[in-house]
Amino acid sequence: MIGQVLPIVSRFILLLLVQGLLLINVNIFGGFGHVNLYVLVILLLPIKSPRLLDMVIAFALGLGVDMFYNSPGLHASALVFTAFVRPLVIRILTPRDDYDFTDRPVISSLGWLWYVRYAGSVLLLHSLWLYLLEAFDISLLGKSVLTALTSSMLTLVTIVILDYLFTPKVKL
Amino acid sequence: MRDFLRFLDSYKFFIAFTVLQLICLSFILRESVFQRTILLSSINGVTGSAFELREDLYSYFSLRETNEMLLEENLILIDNRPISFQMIDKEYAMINDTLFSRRYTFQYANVINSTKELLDNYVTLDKGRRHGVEPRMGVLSGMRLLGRVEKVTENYSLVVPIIHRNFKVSAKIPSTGHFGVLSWSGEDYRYAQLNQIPKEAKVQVGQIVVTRGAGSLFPPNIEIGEISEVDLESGSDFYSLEVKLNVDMARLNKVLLVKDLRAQELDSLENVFPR
Repeated sequence: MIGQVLPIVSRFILLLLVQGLLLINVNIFGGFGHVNLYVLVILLLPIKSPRLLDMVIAFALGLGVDMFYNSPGLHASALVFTAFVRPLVIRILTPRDDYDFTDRPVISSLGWLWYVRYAGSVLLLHSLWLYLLEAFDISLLGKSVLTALTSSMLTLVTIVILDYLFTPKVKL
Repeated sequence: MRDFLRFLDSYKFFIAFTVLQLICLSFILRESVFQRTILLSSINGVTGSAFELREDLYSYFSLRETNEMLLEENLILIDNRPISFQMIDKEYAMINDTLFSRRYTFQYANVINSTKELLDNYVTLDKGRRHGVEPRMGVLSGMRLLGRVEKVTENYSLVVPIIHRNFKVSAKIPSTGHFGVLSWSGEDYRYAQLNQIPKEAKVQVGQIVVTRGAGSLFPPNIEIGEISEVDLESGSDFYSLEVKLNVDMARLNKVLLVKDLRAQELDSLENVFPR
């Protein structure tokens, strides 16, 4: 139990601080590209983790991010949505012979293609919800959608690089 | 009853989702309507001191720029000292010791966090109620308009800069004398929009835009930016102007807080007739 909880809690705190203190000021492509690394906390939750707990974790993490971004409720809302749709994405992407008990949502476990599809769709859904709700303005629709697309791409690239760097290399 | 429980069970995720979303929504709406949720903003004790620690580290990297900015401001002060002025003929000179009374006081604060490329940006300062900061004080950076203080806690304050969609200021084009309302559309952090300038005004690209000094926020004639694009839609009586902002949001460091000593008097007078 502790073995499962500890990594989640430490990722929660570490990624929240990294997002709030460093990545909050990282914007490229003229303000269209944000790196929302904190979504990784949700992405890395176990494949068969209880959905209600996921949403509660997402809600707490979102409020934490909101404290840094001065946007009460906004990031929490987007993350709760993310945690809510993640199982659907996982179900759609089920491999032919279902998930193994040992499968984890990382490249080394389920492969490149699965991972990019999984992380890509979850991130895109998250960014769309986030930036459309943030603008809440039809005249900014173009900017919101463009921001969502670039940000989710950028975050996906960052996450894949991090996954590559931090996954222990297994010698065959 | 059993059917109802089964219904609840099969939809429990969706119900939980809805409940959490409603909580989030209430936070979002409360923010824009009453704008009083200190705990969930960056000026609460935890995030405030985290930003302050980071700024302690960062400030070493911008010492040179800070120095240059202070030298620039110093030059303006030296320029205004008596040594730069010549006495007018004594017969006609006025001794102006009672002609002026103090209206504004200034105080420095450090920027401990700022965002510029979000949709609604904020600047967090390391001075709070304890240092005499109050909501609705004006904030300048290098004698250029930056924003206004929105929320204050004991040790920190939160500034709504020009590049926040709720910010509005009365602005003037000195070369024509017309004034309008400056606001931000949410698109580019380097440009703001100036509206309500009548089409009779002879507006040109490159003209300076300054604060009008209306209300009790900013002194008049504080630099905002210069007109970069003039647009007059056919059938409209007003220009829509793009203003290139002079304040450099990417390099905020020390800012000036402006307190209007007559704010209360002016506000009580102007609020006699509700707008």
